[in-house]
Amino acid sequence: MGLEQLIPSLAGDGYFTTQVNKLIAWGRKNSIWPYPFGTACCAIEFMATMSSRYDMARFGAEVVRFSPRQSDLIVVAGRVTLKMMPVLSQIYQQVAEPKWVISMGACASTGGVFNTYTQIQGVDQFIPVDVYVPGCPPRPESLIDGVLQIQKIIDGQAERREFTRTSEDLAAQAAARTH
Amino acid sequence: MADAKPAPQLPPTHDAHSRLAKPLKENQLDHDLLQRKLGHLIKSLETVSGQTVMKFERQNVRAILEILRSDPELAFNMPTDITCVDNLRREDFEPARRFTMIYIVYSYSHGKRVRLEADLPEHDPRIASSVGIYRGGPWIEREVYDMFGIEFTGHPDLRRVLMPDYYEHFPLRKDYPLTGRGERDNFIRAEEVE
Repeated sequence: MGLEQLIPSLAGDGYFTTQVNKLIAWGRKNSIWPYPFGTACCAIEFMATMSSRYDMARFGAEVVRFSPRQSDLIVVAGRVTLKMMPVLSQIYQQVAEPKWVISMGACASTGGVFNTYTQIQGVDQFIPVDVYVPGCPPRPESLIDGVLQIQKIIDGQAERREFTRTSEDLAAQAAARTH
Repeated sequence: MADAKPAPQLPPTHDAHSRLAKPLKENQLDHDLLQRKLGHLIKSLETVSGQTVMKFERQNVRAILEILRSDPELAFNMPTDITCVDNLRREDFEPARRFTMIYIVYSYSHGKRVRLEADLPEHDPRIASSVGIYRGGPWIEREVYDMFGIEFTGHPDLRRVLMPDYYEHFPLRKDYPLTGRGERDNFIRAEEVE
């Protein structure tokens, strides 16, 4: 992992001092196990990101788990509908702490072009989202950047946000839609 | 500089309008045959945009479909689609014909297609189910019930098929707003669930 370059004392005496939190965060951020909540074309880009050309394994996040019990990063990739939102909420609750969420693409983040009665206008209304990846669908480079942002959040370099839409925001949105 | 080349002439098949103007073979239906078999059950028989359209009163739906499917000269054995139109926004709207049920049936043995239309009133949108005539019929009717709230009498299992069971509205009716009535905003936030 190139630790010798980062921590010079490793090369010499073979030991170094740190904090347990930092050591755990270092381990966590380099072994993210993503859970792909793929419902639409974003999931195809997710597959491209995972496979050899873009190779998410370079960042330690290549072990895609299809059980929420075994993963710590949910990638919401695609449209989420009225029927799917309770499923996503339950899956979010099934992921063991600590957990992070990427909202991938326009549909998961805002509803995208699907402003209809059955389309959730952004999953961040109902589950906490850490990183939004823009695009329709995002290119693999964008998703890789999103995972790197998650890594920064994990080791404390970036602030973790809770619900980004407050209840006041939601009320204002609902009022704007009643025309 | 060389002489300008003449513009290439497109072959006549590239003219979309001339292709559309040709009547499709499958639509050359024998109207006399249909009139002889079904004349006592239908209100009108005409050709609209190259398609044979028969209008009928809703109480005759099962008799008409039964003849269309089982008569060997007709043999319309495939229910291509059963759907509905909400006429609420039409200029000539009247509550007595709020909904129009549309049946499109196809005959594999003769390669012919026919469209059937029946008006349903606003206060009583009911029509008999095609159960027992077309095996796929009840499935398509469930979708029509889900989206338009048409009640199919005699249907063995008239439940919603696309929308969730708790849904209260019929979203393809024209008086239902496109963005819904707040159903998509009314979920519990994951962190508030105990």
